[in-house]
Formats: sequence, structure tokens, C-alpha cells
Amino acid sequence: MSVFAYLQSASKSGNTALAFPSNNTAGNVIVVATSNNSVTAINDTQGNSYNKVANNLYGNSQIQMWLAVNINAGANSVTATGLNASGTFSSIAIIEYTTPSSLTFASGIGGPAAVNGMTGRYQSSGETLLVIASYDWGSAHSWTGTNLTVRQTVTEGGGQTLGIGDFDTTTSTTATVSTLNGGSGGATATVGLLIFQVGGGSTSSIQISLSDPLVIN
Amino acid sequence: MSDQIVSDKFGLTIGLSDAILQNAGSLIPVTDSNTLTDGIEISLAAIVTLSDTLSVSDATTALQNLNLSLSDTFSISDSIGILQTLNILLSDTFSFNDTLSLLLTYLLTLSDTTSLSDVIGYTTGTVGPLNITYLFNDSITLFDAQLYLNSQNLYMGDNLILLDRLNSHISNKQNIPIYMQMFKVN
Repeated sequence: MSVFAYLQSASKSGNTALAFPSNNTAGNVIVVATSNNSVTAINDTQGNSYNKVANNLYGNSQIQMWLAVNINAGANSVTATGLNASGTFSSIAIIEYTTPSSLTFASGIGGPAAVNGMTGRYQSSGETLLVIASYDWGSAHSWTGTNLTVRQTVTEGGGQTLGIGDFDTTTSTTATVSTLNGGSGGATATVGLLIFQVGGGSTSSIQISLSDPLVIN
Repeated sequence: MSDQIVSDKFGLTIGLSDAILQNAGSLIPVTDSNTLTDGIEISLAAIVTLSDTLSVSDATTALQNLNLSLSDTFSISDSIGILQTLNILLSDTFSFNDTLSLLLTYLLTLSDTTSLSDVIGYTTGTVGPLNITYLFNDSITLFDAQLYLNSQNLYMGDNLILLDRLNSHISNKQNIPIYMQMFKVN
């Protein structure tokens, strides 16, 4: 199990505030995914600061990922500015991951980097957390993956689905995300976030693949 | 000629304005204009050769083995109940403008343009082998065993409700943006 452990999550369609089921813990991180590239800001009732760390546009699909580190403790609700009120481009998903007190936030590197298909060297699997979010543009779909734990999925009015999950890198460093579209111009936009510890430990390789089979019903 | 024509051969210009009830094996060669304006109830093995214009404008309830060769314009403007084994060779324009409720074994060879502009209720075994463009503008409710060969263009503008055995090959490629966030040991 990674030192960056899953704690809680929530999701919904609509542009009103989305609350965490339980209080946040100080020092943890919050990951937010939205099915809309027009989102300009993420705010919450704890006054945490969010940065957009990844976005993608593929076909009709749009997706963003935002990150807040060293968060405050307490009850918290998250709002995305620019999200549609309903229908397409209206979904938000939030996850809180724990950060050990032995670690402090350093800095982000790489920026939104296209690393799919590459074999990169990262820290050992127990010191790494990989979060993947996809927005699936189709009328019928599922969202699964090898070694992927799906944390949240939310379906919009047209059948589009925002999904977010993470990989248990202690089990395998080969991750696969599969989405099934309905054959109506389906396309899936995907983004990722790799959180890891620097200093100490050995390195290992993580490989990510994305499959998008077309199914005619 | 206005009533109850059973068969006719070697006529250069033929106008048939009333009902033809039984017309089996009718052969009409080198005809400039052949117009069938009223109800044809049964027509078996109708063959038209080198005609410039052929139009069937009213209700045709059963038409089997209709063969057209080297015709410039062929139009069926009203309801066709059952049409089996329709073969068209070297025709320039072929159009169905109104309701086509049942079409079996529909073969097109070397035709330039085929347009199906209205409701097609049931179509089985459509095969277009040579660079044919199909334009489907309205509702298609059921398609079975649709085959597309040799670089054809298929346009489907409106509702396609049920489609079996459509094989698609997709070669998409997407980069996944991944942000790397570091934490250091205290």
C-alpha cells in the first residue's frame, strides 16, 4: 500500500457545492476532476488553494484535474467555477488522500506531460500514488482497469461519464484503463496525476495504457 | 389504350394509363418513353432495355425481378410494397422518393448516384461493389448484413436505430497528460 492512501471521495453532476462525507484531515491532499475544460477555478469552504495540474481534450470529451496540498482540517465543500448546471460538461469528483506527517510538500515537476507509452523511472511502488480520471463520451459505457480501483463515477444527462480512480502500485506497476463507448461518436479524454516521495527508496517503472474499444449494440 | 393491357411488344411509344393486372415476362425493347402511371398490382420479370425514361408513379404492390440496362433516369415516386431482386446496370440516376417498405436483394452495379431520401422500413442484403456513394438522409429503422466494399462513402445524417454487423476499424491515439507532484522526507 502506498504511503499516499485513499481516505474518502464524492461526485455529482451540477455546478453547486459538493461536500466530503467526513471532515478533511490537515496536511492531506485533495484531487478534483471536472468534465469541463472551461472551469476557471476550484474553491472550497476550508480556503484551500487549488492548482490545475492537467487537462485534456479528445473529440467531444473534456477533462481537468486540480490539486490542493497541505489542506486544512474540518468539514469541507468544493465548488468548480465554470461547470455546467446540468447535462454534459457538468460533473465533478473529489478525493482526499492521506499524506504522512513525515513528508512535506516539495514542488510539482514536469507539468502536464505526455508520458503515455513511455517507461519512466519513479520511486518505489510503496511511495507512489497514481490517480487517473477519464471523461467518456458515449451512450453506453463502463469504466474499468487492470489494477485500478474506481473511486467515483457520475453519469450525465446524455450518458457521458466522468470517472476517477487510483492504481495500487504495490500490486503491479502496469496499469490499464478501459472505457466502452456506445458507438455514437464516443471518445474518452484522460488525465493523470502521479504523487511520489523523493529521497530514499529504490526506483521502479510504471507503464500506463489506455484502451477504448468500440462496441456496436 | 386505356384498359386491361396484358402484354405489349415492339412499341416505340407506349402510354398505359390504367390498371395492368397481370404482366408476366413483358419485354419492351428500344423504347423512348415508357410511362406506367396507375396501379400495377403484379409484374413478374419486367425487362426494359435502352429506354430513356422509366417512371412508376403510383402504388406498386408486388414487383419481382425488375432489370434495367442503360437507362438514363429511373424513378419510383410512390409506395412500393414488395420489391425483390432489383438489378440496375449502368444507370446514371436512381432514386426512391417515397416510402419503400420492403426491399430484398438490392444490387447496384456501376451506377453513379444512389439516393434514398425517405423512410426505409426494412432492407436486407444491400451490396454495392464499385465506388458507389450512398446518401441516407432520413430514418433507417433496420439494416441487416450491410456490406461496404472498395472505398465507398457512407453518409448517415439522421436516425440510425438498429445496425447489425457494421465493422469499423479505428486507429486513434491519445496522449495522457500526467502531472508529477513530489513530496520530500522531513
